[in-house]
Amino acid sequence: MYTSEGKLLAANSVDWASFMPDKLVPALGETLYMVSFTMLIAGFLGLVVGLLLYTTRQGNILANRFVNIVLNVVVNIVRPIPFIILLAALGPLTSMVVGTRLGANAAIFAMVFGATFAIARIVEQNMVSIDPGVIEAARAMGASKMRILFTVMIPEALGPLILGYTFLVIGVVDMSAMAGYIGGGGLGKVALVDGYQRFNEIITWSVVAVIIILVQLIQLVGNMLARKVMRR
Amino acid sequence: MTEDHIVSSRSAAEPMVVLSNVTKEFRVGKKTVTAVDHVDLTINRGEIFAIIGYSGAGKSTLVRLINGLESITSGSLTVNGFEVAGKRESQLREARTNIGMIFQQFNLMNSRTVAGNVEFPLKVAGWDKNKRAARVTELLEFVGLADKAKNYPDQLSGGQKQRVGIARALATSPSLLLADESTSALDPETTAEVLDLLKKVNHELGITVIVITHEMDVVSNIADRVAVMELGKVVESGNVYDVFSNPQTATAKRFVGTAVKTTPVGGEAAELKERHRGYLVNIEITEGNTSIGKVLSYLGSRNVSFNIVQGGLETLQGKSYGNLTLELIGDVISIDAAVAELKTVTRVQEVR
Ligand SMILES: Nc1ncnc2c1ncn2[C@@H]1O[C@H](COP(=O)(O)OP(=O)(O)O)[C@@H](O)[C@H]1O
Ligand SMILES: [Mg+2]
Repeated sequence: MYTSEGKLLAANSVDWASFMPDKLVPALGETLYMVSFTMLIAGFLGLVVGLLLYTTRQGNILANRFVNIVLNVVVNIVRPIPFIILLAALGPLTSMVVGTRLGANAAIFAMVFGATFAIARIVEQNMVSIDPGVIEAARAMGASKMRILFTVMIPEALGPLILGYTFLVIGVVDMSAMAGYIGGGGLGKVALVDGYQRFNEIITWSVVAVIIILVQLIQLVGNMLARKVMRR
Repeated sequence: MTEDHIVSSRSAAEPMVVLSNVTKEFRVGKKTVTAVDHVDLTINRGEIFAIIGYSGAGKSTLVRLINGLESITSGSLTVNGFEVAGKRESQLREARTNIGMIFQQFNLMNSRTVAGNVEFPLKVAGWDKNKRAARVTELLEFVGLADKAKNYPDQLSGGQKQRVGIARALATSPSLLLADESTSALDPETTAEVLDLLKKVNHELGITVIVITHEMDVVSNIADRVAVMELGKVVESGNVYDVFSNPQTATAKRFVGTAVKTTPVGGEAAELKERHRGYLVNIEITEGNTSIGKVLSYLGSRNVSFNIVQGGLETLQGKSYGNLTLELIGDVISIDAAVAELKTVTRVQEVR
């Protein structure tokens, strides 16, 4: 089994009967767990930061130069850091907050950190396209700032926001695969440890296939929702 | 009969919006732009007041000061006695529910149906659900769009969108309606429809209307009084007929010129003189001036004949005004006598 010939043999064969239930399905479960928790938390935090980025712009309802500049600087610092490096750099902070650097929860911490700022930018960019005239009309009707934010701005930008979030779920799936590299588990770990490191291309590609299907499904749902909201 | 009623109620002239020495400055980088420059203006309850001027004159800024969308730099502005100047956004909100506003680009929410758009200000004003639904139905009937309640704005024509805008602006029964270039994005036919609706708002609901426009047609169609704006200043104001039958400023004259042909000058005058060998004079036509016809009919017996070369007549507030350019033919002495006689009944200008 451990001859060079045996290795070659192992690299080209997969025992699907055990691989599927023992590895692939639990890994898919872990990935879904990491992605959904990250999206839940980062989705909310990113929305808050993104709305602040937008509403504190000059001339907007919460116009505040100082807050706007600080947020922009923070977002611009964190966003360009490659996730794999962010993951390593956040290590000490992760073990402080989560208690460990390993496992799905540690991965979620780093993913939330990275995704929040990406989501914030996407939210801001989609809000900017709102027609200022509509906001002016709401002001003219005596609507409060918070009412304008929640009942005018967000509904008016909802379609593009859904597409933006869909784009980011896919980005987070990508992050989760990298998180697998540092012990986060999930599909990424299976592809790397069971596939790549053991020269088993069949495993690597079967994981890739699962990820592709997952991404397609997410995009499909996102498009459907957005189309429903935008009525086209 | 209604004319008399309106005239008498107008003569009561109860001030509703009063601007005293109002100035609005914008800081653009290090420069200061004075968009509204020491304006004094009074708009009376129940009238349709037009503010006309070219792009950049400061009309939109002026109207946005009235409902506090822009803050006043100096001066005083009251609406129904409520001082708008120096108020915070939160203090202005209440006042705004009593002032409706419509816009050139309609500014409807695409995420809501027609009914949803009209319902929005009622939600802001805290109406309960049943009252809101009844009011929305009533408003959509008033603007003739009851069948479009469940449609979305992007499924409507421009004129229909503006009617939704009007229904929305009227939802909380305001006493004042601000219309900023509300027909400028519409074709002439639809413009007439929307103007008729604004008239109906004024006549049937007694709502004071302030219309901002750069189109003379809008003013002559619906306004009782008008202010002409130029570079942030009100350069002329008064009764629409008085201002436009006898414009004082170049701006007002140019607006009149867009509605009727005015005294030919420059190249146009030279061309006329080329084609007509007689003596060319321009006479002003005003309402009730029946003497002009009388003078013209006597010209023959004074050895002067005339041709009508060009001109324009319009009706404003039921009264006509305009200009005629006449070619007078005859000997010099007779023509001089004819011109002298014309001058006793109207304004006469030689075309040079
Ligand atoms: N928010 C603003 N900031 C800076 N300048 C402005 C602003 N709004 C209007 N202005 C300036 O004020 C002047 C009057 O504009 P506006 O009231 O829109 O004119 P109008 O409606 O008659 O076309 C213009 O010179 C315009 O550039
Ligand atoms: Mg304007």
